[in-house]
Amino acid sequence: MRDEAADEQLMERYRDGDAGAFDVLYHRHKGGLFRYLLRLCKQQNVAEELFQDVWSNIIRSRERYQPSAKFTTFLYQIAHNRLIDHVRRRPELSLSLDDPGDEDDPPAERIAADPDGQPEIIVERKRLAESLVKGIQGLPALQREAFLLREEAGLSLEEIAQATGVSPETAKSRLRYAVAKLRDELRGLR
Amino acid sequence: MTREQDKDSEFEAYLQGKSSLSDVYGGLPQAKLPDHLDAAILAEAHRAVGARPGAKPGRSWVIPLSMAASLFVVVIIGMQLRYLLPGEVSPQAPRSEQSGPENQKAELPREADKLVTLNKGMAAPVQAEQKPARAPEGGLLDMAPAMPAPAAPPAPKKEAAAVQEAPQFRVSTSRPMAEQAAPAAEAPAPVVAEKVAQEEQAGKGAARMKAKSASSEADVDAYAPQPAPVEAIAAAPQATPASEPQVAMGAVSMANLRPADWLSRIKQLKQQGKLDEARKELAAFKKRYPDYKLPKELGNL
Repeated sequence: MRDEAADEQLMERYRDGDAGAFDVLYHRHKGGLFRYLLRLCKQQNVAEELFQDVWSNIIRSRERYQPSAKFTTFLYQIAHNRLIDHVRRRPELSLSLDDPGDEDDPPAERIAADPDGQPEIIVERKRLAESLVKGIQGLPALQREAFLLREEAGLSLEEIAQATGVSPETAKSRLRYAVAKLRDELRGLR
Repeated sequence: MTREQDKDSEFEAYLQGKSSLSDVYGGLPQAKLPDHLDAAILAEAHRAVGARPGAKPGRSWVIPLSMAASLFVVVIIGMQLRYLLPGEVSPQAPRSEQSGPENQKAELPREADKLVTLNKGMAAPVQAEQKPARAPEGGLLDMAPAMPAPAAPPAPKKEAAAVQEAPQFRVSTSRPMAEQAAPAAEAPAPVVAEKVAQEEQAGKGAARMKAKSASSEADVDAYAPQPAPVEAIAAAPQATPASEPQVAMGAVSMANLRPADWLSRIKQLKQQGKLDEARKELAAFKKRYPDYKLPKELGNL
């Protein structure tokens, strides 16, 4: 399954009929995209629906794909637009970031269950994770999205701007505020 | 102001990947994607390009190529069987005994057939009746004697030229097209060569011949190769070595006929008083069809 080809080459190969190229592309990006959607829309079932829609869109639009932009930007641009459409159709949903697993299996608890860690380190990780999750939850949706695009997709400022349809300055401002708030959140622990 | 500068430097460090913020975020538990979602998306992706999930890429050409190769082989075999099976051509042969001798003529070129078909002004039934058999009953091997004699090497070119010029002849004549095209195609090579030689002696080029044939019906008749009589074809001395007996040539040409037609021809020879020739033909017939029941008229020959 390992294929070191660039995303753009894989997408071109898939466009030309190589289904195996899509497999590589999918496994390379599925985790980040799903977390991006899940941490923005907070509902597992909604995130799954949007996730499938995004990939279906990629599949359908393969004939029109031109590698003029980075594939990741293309992918998250579709995800962003799909998310916006979904929120517009269902106004009761807001782009908040309540972790859906918090009630049953909080992330901090899962970190604490790591059997390989030392007790002090485990406690520290737990505190940091809880604090970071809390900080991300408190971010405005657009700042949160900028942060997630940076962390999950590894996009640059220009690419974040392109994916979200704003200017690079706006994207930079959003990300800068998000990072500052999260740093403050973590700093309070120390 | 110092706080703003600190934030800027922290942000720059974050963009450069030197912040611990990314490390902490990366340590968060990974959300798990349901397996059924993976399967559904991959299946959709494979369906979209016509591939099965798990199938190796780059093999989509195998099935079309194998189908094309199979079709090619079937067509080749079909073409071979068309000439090898004797029953395939028998329905095209004239059934009346009177039309039997016409079958001794050489095969009408396919170009002439096409031209005949294209001419809508001509009577189709007449053309169909006059279409000669493509192959004799004896099969591919028996076709050899009926082929145009290879005595004159340039003959095929002249034959082709005659076929190409056939439409011009038809324009100015009222004869059925098949009657004109067939003689042009089936005239023995020496006859055509002789015409060409005469024409060259008269200093006429091919273009001039065309123009003249279009202007005068008489000229058309003069330039158009006339249908050679059956006897001329059968006894054409140019086509066989001089040492070969006449009877053998006649037997060869009549051997191309169906048994009934052959016997009919022998009867005609007998009625014409050519008893020697009739006896020789009958002997050849008996040699070829030893078990064939002869009619009473030929029993006392």
